[in-house]
Amino acid sequence: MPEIKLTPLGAGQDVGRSCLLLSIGGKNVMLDCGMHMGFNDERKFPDFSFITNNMSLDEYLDCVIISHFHLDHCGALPFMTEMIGYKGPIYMTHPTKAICPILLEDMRKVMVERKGETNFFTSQMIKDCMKKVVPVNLHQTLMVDDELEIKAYYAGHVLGAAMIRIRVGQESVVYTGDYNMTPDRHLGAAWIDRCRPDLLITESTYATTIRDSKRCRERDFLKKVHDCVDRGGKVLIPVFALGRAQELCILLETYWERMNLKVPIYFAAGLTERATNYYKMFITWTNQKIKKTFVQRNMFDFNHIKAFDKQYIDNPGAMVVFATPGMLHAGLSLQIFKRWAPNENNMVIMPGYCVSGTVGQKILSGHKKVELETGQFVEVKMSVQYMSFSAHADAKGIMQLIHYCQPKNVLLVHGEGAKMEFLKQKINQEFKIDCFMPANGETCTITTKPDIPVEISLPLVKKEEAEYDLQPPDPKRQRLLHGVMIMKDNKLKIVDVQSAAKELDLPRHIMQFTETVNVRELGTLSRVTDKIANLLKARLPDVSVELPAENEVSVDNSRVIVKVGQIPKNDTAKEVSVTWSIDDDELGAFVFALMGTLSK
Amino acid sequence: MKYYNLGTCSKPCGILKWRGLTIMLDCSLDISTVLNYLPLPLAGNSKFTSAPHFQNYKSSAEGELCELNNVILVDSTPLFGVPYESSIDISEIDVILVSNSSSILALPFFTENPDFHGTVYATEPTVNVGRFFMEELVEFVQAVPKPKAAKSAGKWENVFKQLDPSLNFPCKIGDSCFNRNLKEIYSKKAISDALLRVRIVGFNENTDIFGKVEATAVSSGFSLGSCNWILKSESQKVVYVTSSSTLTTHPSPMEQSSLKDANIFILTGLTRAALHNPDAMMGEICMAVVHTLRNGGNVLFPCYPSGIIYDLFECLTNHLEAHGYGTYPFYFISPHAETSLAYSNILAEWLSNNKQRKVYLPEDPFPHAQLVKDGRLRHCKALNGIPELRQPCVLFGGHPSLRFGDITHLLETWGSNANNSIIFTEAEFPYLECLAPFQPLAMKAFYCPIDTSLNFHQANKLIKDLKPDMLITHEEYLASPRAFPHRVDLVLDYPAVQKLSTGSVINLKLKRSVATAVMDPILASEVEPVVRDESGTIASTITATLDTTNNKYKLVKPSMDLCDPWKCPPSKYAWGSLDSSIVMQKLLQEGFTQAKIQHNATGFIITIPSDNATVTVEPNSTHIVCTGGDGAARLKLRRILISCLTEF
Repeated sequence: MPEIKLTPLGAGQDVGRSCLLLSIGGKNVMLDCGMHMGFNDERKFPDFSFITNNMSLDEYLDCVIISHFHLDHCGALPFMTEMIGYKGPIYMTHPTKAICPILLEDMRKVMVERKGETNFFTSQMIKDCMKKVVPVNLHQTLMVDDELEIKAYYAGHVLGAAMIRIRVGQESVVYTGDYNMTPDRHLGAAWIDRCRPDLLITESTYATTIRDSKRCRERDFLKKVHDCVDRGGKVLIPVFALGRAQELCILLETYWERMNLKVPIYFAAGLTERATNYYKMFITWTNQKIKKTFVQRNMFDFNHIKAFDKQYIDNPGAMVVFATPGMLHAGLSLQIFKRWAPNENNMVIMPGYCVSGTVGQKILSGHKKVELETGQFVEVKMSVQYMSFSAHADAKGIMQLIHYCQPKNVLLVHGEGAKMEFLKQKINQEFKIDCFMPANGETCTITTKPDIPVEISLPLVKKEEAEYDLQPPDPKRQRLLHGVMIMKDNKLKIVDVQSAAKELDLPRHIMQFTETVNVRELGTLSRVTDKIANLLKARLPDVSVELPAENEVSVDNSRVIVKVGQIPKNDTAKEVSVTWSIDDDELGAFVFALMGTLSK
Repeated sequence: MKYYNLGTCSKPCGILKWRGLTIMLDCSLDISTVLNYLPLPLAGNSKFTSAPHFQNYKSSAEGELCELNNVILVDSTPLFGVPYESSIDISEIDVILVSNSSSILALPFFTENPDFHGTVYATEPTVNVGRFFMEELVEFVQAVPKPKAAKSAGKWENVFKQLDPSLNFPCKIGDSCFNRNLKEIYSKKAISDALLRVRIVGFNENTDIFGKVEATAVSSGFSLGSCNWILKSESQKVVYVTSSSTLTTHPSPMEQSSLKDANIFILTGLTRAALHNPDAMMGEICMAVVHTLRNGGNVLFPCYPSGIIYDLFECLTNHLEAHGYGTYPFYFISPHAETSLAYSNILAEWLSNNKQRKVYLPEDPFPHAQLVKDGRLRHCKALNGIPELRQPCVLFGGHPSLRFGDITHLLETWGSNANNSIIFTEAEFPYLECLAPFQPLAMKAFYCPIDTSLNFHQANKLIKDLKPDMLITHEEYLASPRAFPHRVDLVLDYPAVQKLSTGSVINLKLKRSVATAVMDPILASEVEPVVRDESGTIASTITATLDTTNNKYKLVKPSMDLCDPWKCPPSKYAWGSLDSSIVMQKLLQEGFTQAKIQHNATGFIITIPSDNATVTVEPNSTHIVCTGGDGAARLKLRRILISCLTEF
């Protein structure tokens, strides 16, 4: 039985550092190549030695597919391609290809310049890496080689996020990356057709959460921000430059407009304008409403949101600041946090998931004193709010996706082990399919039962079709195809029995049987023949019984022939012979057995 | 397989009947009919509002015929030529595949028919740009309402339909019978209804059509989202190529490799300006514009609201900048000017590699976004929307036929000044015929058609590279053009070719010997294969239930209880010949000690007196005759004999 193997190098029962190795139909594919934000040591990158112990990446991998531009999905890509060495193709969507290098460069700066990382990839390496990228369009069927086929679906998580279907022959796998099943203010909902993959690899960040309606969360968010600025507080919203940031900007922009608020909103400079420019360029990847109205009013032209300058940090009075990065692990958002944290009037709103080890995760779990750098503590008096705006599917959404694409097996990644366990049981119960959740480095093997391609000779099919069409419609009737299957040169072909003899250069050997018995019957031959015919008709109601001659009975178009003959010098008995071919052995034996009953 | 040609070489429309499907390829509208009409004037003081009537024809039609400059023109609502095939019922059409935004224009005529139940497939830019084209056409025509049509013999009948070309009438009725089916333009609602029928596809997206055929759009390099179609059945491939371009302009380049190995290759929509090189034309246009502006004149470009104008904006502004004419304003007037400019800049995936790279920066792929920001290029829904028309200027506007749209007004106002120029870049209409009703004109007319579609040289190279089994193309492409009989280079040359003429039907034989299917793994696991020879050929008799869900064959394990017990096919057959010595040996082993063998010419006969049995063996058959027994001897003999044969 063919097998599909999957080994998470990252994101196995964990969030962050998504990197999965997939083996399907003799092909090896790497799905995502992310880094872990919570680690500063070598654990930040996936453990490629899993592959490189045995061979080089080029030898092993057929291709790398990146689902979207978040660094926990693409952050290790330049490290892998340039520092470890990989020359093969890398696939991602156009927006991902456009935005990914910017985020990589941004992170590189933080790592090298602020944190003093020395053994890190360079700007040139990012550029060289991106040259290996082949952009894919949604729904395009792309042949990596003669057998390996990939197709991207809209995932809705961030601009350009895609779910990927990988197919080799009759086997297929869908990898969701991160996805969102509910449309938001700027992106549409994930969609996939009923492709019935052998395996669905889905993220499970919110495996146990069923979130309240989007509208409630938005109202909540706006109320919190409004209350804080009303009492003169400063609101810090740590975000990643692209994604949630744009959605929250649209949200605040429209609210400010409606409520006629004058409190300034700032967005950490630099990336912002460029980032929103990408949204303008790739407006076809946003939702219907934005697409329709973009000519009249581009949703990404903000009136109330201004660029932020570091000097504004200590400005008096209320303000709202969006700052990067989103998990408060470095950069401007951390800097602002340091200054604003000791004031209880201020507020920080964490709009997304924070991986363990980051400041964001610490304050969310209630730490009142946080160590920023070694020995440097800051007291957290500001109010800390968590609002789940990250666009991941919740438990309901995950179930919905499984329902959409009807997989034969499900595998959970990109989530916390305990929560996965819960979801796993739910999937088992609801869909009655196997669900796996391998840990990092653990290989999960899924046995598939793929259909086997076979060719049928056209006359054979046509003959069956013609016969089927002649019969009155009956939904219960099964359409039977009978022939000889020949496997030659690894190809299966079904032909009719006569052609098979030719094809195999082996004639059929037809065996015929004639059994003769004497029966005690008086009278003329035709009387006995009639009697036999009547007996056969009675016992074989669905089979035609005919009398082609006065001493002959033909059963079902001469499949079995019964002949009645005189026995010389004997008037009280007749000789009955039954002839049939081996193809009709059951019918023939039955008729012969019936004749036997006559003789007694 | 049958192919019905409903179109002409530049207005493609065809119907393919294949594997039980009716597939319509493109849906072009013949607009050239409007050249027979009087231009629709915007302003009341136009000379067309009081054109003299033509009087030497049927009196009933007089009110609708005008004579201007010895040309007879029809003065009523214009009619357009809609593709039509009498033998095809519209309800039969399963799908319509649209290649580009110009060949979608007749779509509403089909979709508004209540009998139409098909699905339309097109790319997203084709739909959106097609929408501009259709809506602009409708808006232009409806801007100047005309009396519907004349009453003749109590019937509403447009006079244009009555003009019989055989009368040697001075009026030209299109080129062919393509426009036998003349209709008034559709409504705006019909456009949006039609576009609702469209299923958006991307390049290289495989679309399954009723399980019989897989359709794939691949880039044709002609305009935004323009495509060629590949239709694949299990074993055959039909390729439909139209309006393709191997030149580098703004759209994504033409995809050629996937067009290979076609059994049938339908080629249409070659360049309509075979004698005019697009690059040279661009150069001439630039010179003409500079020349006109230098003399203080205005330049008028009759154009469609999308397509080649993007390249014109880019080239012209660069050229003018370089020659010190960078301050002259550009105007782009169309009901969809703004949308067209904005929309073209968000189509990164559909653009050439150069333009795509800009998006990664991120910069607008087309420079016209910057031109609009700088005020160099101004766009306007209509002429009266421009607050102040700075002259001299370069103005783009429709419609290229010069029969409706704002351009008719501009021609009348600017036509008398010899400093002004009009530059024709569309090869669709003969420019002199377009200009005829406006004569006398003092303004200069330049004919610089830019048609980036394949020329004959490129097309010949393409088919030579792709080597299809059979090429199907228009008869016009297979002989030198009538106007240039000596130009043998303007001919398609391929040995295996079938020609199309308008309204013709081609019968094609596509042979296939096998149907593809898949076998359920449960069934496969129960097959008992027998290895036949050293090469590893394996054979086995198989009985399976044929599942035809979604028109795909699948073989599954049959449930024998549903089968008529007396009609179940045998599960195994015997093959080969019997060897007499082996048979005898086995018979002896099994206790038939009295068996006697007697050889004859072709086989042998074994008699077993103890069991009253005779076995007659021929090379390919055996007859076992038993007398007076209960069948036990027969069964035993059968078993022994089969064991001497191959059984599977």
